[in-house]
Amino acid sequence: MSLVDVDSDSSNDVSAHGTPDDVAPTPGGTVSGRGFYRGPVRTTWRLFGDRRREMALSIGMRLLQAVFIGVPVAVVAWIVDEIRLDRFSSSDAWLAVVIVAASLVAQFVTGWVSNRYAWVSTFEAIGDARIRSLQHVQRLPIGVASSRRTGDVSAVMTSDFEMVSAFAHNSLPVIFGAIGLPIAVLIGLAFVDAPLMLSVALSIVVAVPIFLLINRRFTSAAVERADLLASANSRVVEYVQGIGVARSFNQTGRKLDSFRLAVNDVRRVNDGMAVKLVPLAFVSMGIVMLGVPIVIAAAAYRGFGGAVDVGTAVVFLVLVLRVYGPLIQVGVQVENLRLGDAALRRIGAVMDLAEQQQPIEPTVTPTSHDVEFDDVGFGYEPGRRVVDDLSFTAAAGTMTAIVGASGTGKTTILNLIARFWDPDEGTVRIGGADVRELTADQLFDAVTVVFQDVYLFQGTIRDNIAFGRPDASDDEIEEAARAAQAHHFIAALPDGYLTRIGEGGATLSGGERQRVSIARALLKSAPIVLLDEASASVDPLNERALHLALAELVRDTTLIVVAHRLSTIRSADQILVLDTGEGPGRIVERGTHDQLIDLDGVYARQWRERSRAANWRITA
Amino acid sequence: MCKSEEVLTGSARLDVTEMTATDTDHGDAGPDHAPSVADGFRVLLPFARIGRGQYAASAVTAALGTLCQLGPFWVVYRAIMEFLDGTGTRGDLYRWALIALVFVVAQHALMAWSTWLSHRAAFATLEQLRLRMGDRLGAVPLGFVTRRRSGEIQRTMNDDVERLEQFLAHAIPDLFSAAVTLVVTTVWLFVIDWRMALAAVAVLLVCGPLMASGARKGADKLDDYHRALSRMNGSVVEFVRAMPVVRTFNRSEETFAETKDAIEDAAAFQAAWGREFLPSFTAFYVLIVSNVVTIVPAGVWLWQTDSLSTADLVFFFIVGLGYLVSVMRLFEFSTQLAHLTLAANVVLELDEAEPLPEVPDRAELGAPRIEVDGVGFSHQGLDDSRRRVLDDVSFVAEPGTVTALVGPSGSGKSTLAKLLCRFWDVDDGAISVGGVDVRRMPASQLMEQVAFVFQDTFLFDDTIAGNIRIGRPDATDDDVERAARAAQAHEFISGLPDGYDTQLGERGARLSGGERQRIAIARALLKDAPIVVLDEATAYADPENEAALQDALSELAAGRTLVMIAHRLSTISGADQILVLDAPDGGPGRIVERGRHDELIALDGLYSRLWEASDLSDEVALGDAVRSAQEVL
Repeated sequence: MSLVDVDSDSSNDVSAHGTPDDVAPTPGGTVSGRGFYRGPVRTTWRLFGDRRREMALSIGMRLLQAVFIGVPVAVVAWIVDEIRLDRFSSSDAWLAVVIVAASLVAQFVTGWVSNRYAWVSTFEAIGDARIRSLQHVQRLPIGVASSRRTGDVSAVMTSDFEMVSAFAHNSLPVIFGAIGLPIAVLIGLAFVDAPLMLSVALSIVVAVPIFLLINRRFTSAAVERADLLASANSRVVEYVQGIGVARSFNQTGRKLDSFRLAVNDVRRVNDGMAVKLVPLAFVSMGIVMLGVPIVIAAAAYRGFGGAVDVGTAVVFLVLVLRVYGPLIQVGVQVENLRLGDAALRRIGAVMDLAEQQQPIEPTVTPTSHDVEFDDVGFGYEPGRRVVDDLSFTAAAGTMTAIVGASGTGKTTILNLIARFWDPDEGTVRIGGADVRELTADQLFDAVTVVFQDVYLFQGTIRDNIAFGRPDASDDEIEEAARAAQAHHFIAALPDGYLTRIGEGGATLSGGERQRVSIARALLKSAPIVLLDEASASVDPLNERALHLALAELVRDTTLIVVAHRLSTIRSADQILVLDTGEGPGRIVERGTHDQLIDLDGVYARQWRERSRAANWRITA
Repeated sequence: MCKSEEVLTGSARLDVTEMTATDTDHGDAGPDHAPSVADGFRVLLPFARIGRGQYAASAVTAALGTLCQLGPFWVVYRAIMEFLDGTGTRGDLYRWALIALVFVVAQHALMAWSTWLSHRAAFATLEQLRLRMGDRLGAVPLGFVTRRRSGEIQRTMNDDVERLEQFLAHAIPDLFSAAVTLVVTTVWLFVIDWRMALAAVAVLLVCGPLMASGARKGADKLDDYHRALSRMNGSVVEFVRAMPVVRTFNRSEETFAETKDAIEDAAAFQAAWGREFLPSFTAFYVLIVSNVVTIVPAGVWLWQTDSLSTADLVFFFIVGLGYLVSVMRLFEFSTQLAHLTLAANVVLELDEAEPLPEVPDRAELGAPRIEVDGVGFSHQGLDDSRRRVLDDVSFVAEPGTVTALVGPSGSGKSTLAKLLCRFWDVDDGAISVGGVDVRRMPASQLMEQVAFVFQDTFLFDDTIAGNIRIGRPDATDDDVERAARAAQAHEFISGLPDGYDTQLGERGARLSGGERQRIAIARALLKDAPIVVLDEATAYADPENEAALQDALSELAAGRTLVMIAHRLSTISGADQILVLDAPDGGPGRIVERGRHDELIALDGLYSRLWEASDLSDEVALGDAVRSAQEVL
């Protein structure tokens, strides 16, 4: 048996999360007071909530089981001693058999009760904890909850809790049981002969600090390894994603440096780890087992010296092997402890994110559907503003186009209106009311968002369109779909509006997906629409249809759009031109298309470039 | 800087199926599907072929190590006998202590050595395996990749391969040594006294069936168990991913309630499963280390009837007790076997995938002319269903001309372009380049002829120079820079902190779509192939960079045979031939019109409709567009 798993954590742990350190508190979520994570045992204890009593009972039962495991060993020692003294009678024999059998039954009962409480209470407690943390996630600013820097929240909610569950229902009782038996035996031996008992304990006492030291080394090595592997693995992932390019340049497999080196790296990192850690892994177990020769020598010293009678020495010899065996189990479980601990840290990091404050009951009422930015500044990381000094008003019923190069913070403006993030400075208002003072209902009754990368649920097209208004009638749904130019292609699908989309269902093109999401927004008919226009080009018919759908969306709404298409930009009532220069994105020009052309600044220059681009033709 | 975009686009990377596929396998101590151990070994053992000498050495060393583990038991038995016989001296016992010391040291040294050997061997095996899979991935039809769910192959190459390490580095030495120890100890016990030996192994008679029934009972429910967990994982992943949409549509309560249900169901199911399975699980673990319950009565009885010596009785009390622990190791392996076998099969699927047939000898090629003759092609779906995407496509692209492929989404344009590079083999007809069927030349020769610029540029986690140099690995720095200049990329590259040595990828510089695309063009320019295929190469260009990108494309096209897919029709209106593809009603794509721009406009068919539509969306302001566009559609 190899006692310690040198290569430590499971690989999906690495690829799903990177290292625990990745999950630093995210901006927008400052840590309030003490963190959620307080060491593996206390944090688990905390997660167990009102099921702590069951867990404690389970551990108690496990300790009791350890005692019952010790009983037959004691019986054997007693038999050997009786035989030595030549007074082992047949009634003694019956007694021994009965005690052994009874201890077996007791072991089963205590073991079963312990397992049952550990398993059932863990499953239930983890379920509850999952629900509680989802509730927490739901109250985070959306931006924080879906930012990659937060770590993958869904991976935390699924695999990390699963890992904690495995740790709590499996490893924790095993560890207690494995420590319980030696302790029970040692206590028993202390009554027989204290000096000999100390000789049994000696190797354990020496091994413990060494074990802890080595374990710390393992942990830091595992973190380091996870880091290196995550980077190598991501290059392998990249190779698969770029397989088309690799093939078209005849740079496949080991011919491609980045792939070959990544694979080499994985081996190098692992080899390095094995060289460093394998010898260490066996040191502490070896030290514990050195107790056997020590105890033999001590028994010889005291037994033949007359300090103890021979029977006592024999008892120690019989028991010594039973003390050290279970401790090795602890070594095996340490790996699970480490995995559970890493998972708990990641859970803690998510739990420590600050929730977004939002009133439950309306306190203010927006007076119009104007959207107003008042000197707004914001950065995703502290100290790094993405946008600054943003002030503008999008009057009710008008269309505002936001243009600018990538990285100037166009989408950020939409994020701030929908409160996916809250500004660091300044105020965003709807109808004169600070968006932070609106209830969720008030805010999202007023605002609808059409995302660039449309998220459609696994479900029917109908469900997806009706998402904003579940009680909508079929006629209303079709009407919205028609207005969004989606009715035609939906009707052509095998099951029409009842066609399922997603895995195992129909796949829609990008243009079609966006039209479904526009239908969804139209059906909701909120007075303010935030639109992140898709930047990728689609075929002309799709493009045409999208365009018409947008025209429909514009009617009677305050439309704020991150615009890419010339036609969209040109028809805006107000164009905001963002530019970064060296710092954060700022509004450098504003006005209608004609005004900006007359201004002959950034916008006019870009427009000329784009007009030139629009007239470009390819020739061989 | 681009973080802002990620928020609105919803950034959950895991897809639901991915979660369901991987996350149920946190091995509890519970049982699993129980494929026969022999089947498992048949699949797993061949992976140890590379480096089998080391595995064998590791297994033998491990076996010696575990045999040494028996040493202290035997020594303790002898030490006790010294006391019981009353003949021993203190010196004798010190000698036994020393022997025990030797055993303990030897055991741990041997185990460490074995572990070191097996890990080194396993890491080397995994490396070879990954490289082989990488090679294989470059040689199989592209459909092998596209037909799978996103992320599946990556997961196979990283995680499933890694999982084999459990078998190679751990199971091989562990199982071999456990089996050897079991056999040696059993034989030893039988040699000492066969009746006592039977008593020592008797619990196996109970444990065997317990294990089997436990495994069976578990397996029956296991599918349900996994389904409940998958449902929960899927629901949680979807909950997080959909959160932006859900919140903006005020549907939080309903979706939360659904997810909560799924979580509670899974917890209830796990609990129920635990309750049902626990009795046999507990009984097994209690019994497997409890042959004391048979050894004590049997031993005492035989001793009292004088048919067992005191020495042998003590021997069984010390050595016989708990030797079945190695059976526990075998049992634990059998619970992992299902996962390992599954991982191995997934790995094999890629490792043994059929590559496109390849001819070894280079062909004599004529001028860079593409001839597509009666080509038909079907895509294979996730479920092995086949869907015809191209039918009866024929055309010729003469050297030095521009051929444009246009048509609605889903008409097969991209597939056709990729067939030119032999990402797949056609089902019907033939494609030839330079007068030779693409199947009759080595892939390397075909790739010398054709440069492909994709819609979504892929740059590797390497420096900019490294990425350009993929076009021609032996190119000099000057060559790289010349290509970058021609691709209008030199200027922005020079502006980056480390210039051409700037690292790209996650830890490196972030480039805009247009900049990335220009690097891809530089790469293609460096390759200098006579035929260029452009698949929507301007699709992701940010408008600000579009003009520069177009200049780069003009440079790339100059003097070459060009095949180009374009959505913006104005860009290809000067092409020598325009092929209009259409796939009405979900049927296969066909060429429905062909000719030059003017001819196609005069034809007044699909092309002219596309042209008018694009004309409108480009030029007419939004408000005015509605009416006139409705007339067109």
